[in-house]
Amino acid sequence: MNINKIKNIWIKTRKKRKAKTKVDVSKIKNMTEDEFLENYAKVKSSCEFYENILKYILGTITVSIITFLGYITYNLTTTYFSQYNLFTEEKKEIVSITYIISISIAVIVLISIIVCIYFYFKILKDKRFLLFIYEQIKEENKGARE
Amino acid sequence: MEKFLEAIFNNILQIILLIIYSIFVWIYSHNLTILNSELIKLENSGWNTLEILGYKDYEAIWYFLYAILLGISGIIIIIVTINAFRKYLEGIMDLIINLIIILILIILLINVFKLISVPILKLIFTVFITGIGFMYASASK
Repeated sequence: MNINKIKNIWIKTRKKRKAKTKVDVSKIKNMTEDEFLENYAKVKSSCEFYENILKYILGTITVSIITFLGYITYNLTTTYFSQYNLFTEEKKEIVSITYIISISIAVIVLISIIVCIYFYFKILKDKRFLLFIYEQIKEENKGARE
Repeated sequence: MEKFLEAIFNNILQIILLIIYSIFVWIYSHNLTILNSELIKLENSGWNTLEILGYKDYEAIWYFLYAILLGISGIIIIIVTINAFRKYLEGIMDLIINLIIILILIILLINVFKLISVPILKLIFTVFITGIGFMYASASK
C-alpha cells in the first residue's frame, strides 16, 4: 500500500467525520412533516435532558463537593496554623504531610471538576445549536403555511 | 486493510491520547517499581513510616499525587473515547478499536493502582489518619 493511498484514506475519513459533525440544514428542511416532528421532539427532549442533568444532578454534586472540600480545607488550615507550635518535631512533620496531601487532593479534585464541567458544556452547546436550527425551521414552516 | 485504516484514522485522537498516556504510565510504573523495592527494603530494615515517606525528599508523596493525576486523566480519556464512539461509530472495526482502547486504559489504571497501593498508599493512610487524629485531639483540648 503506497503513501498516496493512505493519504487518500485519511482525507476520505476526515471528510466523513466532518460531515457527521456538520448539521445538514437542507436535509432537515426536506423532511416530511411527521419526520420533522419526530426529530424535533427527539432533539428537544435530549436538550432538556442534558440541561436538567446540569441543573439538578451536576449542580448538586459540584456544589456539595466544593462545599465539602472548602469546609475540610478551612477546618484543616485553621487547626493546622493554630496548633502547629504546640506539637513536637515528629508530630509537626506528620501534621504537615497530612495537610499538604489534603490540600493537593482538594486542588486535583477541583481541577478535574472544572474539566468535567467544560466537557459537559461542550455537549450542551451542540445540543442547543441543533435545537436552535430545528426551531428556526419550525418558525419558517409556520410562516410558509400562514 | 482499507476498513482497518479508516477505523484507525477515525479514532486517531483517541489512539494518540492512548499512546501518550501509555508512555507516561510506562515511565511512571518503571520508576515506581524501583522506588517501591527501595521502600520495602527500608521498611524491612526497621525504618519508621515517617522516615520512609521522607526518603529522597518525600518522593513517595509525589508519586502518590502523580497516581491521582494519572487516574483522573485516564478516566477523562475513557470518557472522551466513549463520547466519540457514540458520535462517530462507523462499523465493526470502530467498535473493536474503541473497545481495545478502553480495555487498555482500564488495565493501565489497575496497574497504577496496584503499584501505588503497597507500600506508598498504606504508609500515606497511616500518616494521614495519625495526622488528622493529632490535629483534632490537640484542637479539642
